[in-house]
Amino acid sequence: MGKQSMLTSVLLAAVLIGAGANVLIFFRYLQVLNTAQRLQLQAQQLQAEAAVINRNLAVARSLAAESLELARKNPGLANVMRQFTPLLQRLQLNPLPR
Amino acid sequence: MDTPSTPPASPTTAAPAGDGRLRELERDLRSHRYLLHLVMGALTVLLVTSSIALFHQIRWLLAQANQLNVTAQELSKAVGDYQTNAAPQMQRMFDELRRYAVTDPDFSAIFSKYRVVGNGSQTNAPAAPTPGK
Repeated sequence: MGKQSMLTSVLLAAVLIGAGANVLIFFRYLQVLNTAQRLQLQAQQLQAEAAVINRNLAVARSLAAESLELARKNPGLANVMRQFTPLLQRLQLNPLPR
Repeated sequence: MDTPSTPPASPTTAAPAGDGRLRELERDLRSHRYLLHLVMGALTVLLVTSSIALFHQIRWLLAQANQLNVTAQELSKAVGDYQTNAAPQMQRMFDELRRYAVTDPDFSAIFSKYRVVGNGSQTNAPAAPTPGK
């Protein structure tokens, strides 16, 4: 009879410990889920910004390329474009020689 | 006090009946205890299993969150670099080219294809030009 009672106590303790651990892990899960969702939102916003930036860069690259093409025959425009050599390099375009 | 309607059983018949009832109760008790142990054991297994599953889910989510964090940091760095370095230069280039376009009709035709639709948004972007239609 004592042995049976001991087994009941051990099982009860196991159930209580398991339930406590489960609750703790569940709250941690909610916490991590919340963080992941926040990060995902942040990444989505940044991706949207990056898309706008890429579009702006593409347009700037296109305009700069056309301007450079014309600048080879037009010294006035060449002078304007020479000011932006670092930007043109950044846009992966060949700047005009000095 | 209730008085039994039936005459009391003689001691020789009452003792076996009481023993039988006691044995029956003991059997019930054993059966219920066995069921209780079974349920508690199953509950423990269930709790441990769900804890392990949740733990693995947390690890997976943390890995995802770390990856997202790295992506967000890289994007944030790129956006910051654009805002501080490229955007002002691009804005200046657009302004200079717009000024030049006024004096040069050939270039004006090219520049007019690039329609400036705004003066930067919340990203502090330069004038967001879009190719004209």
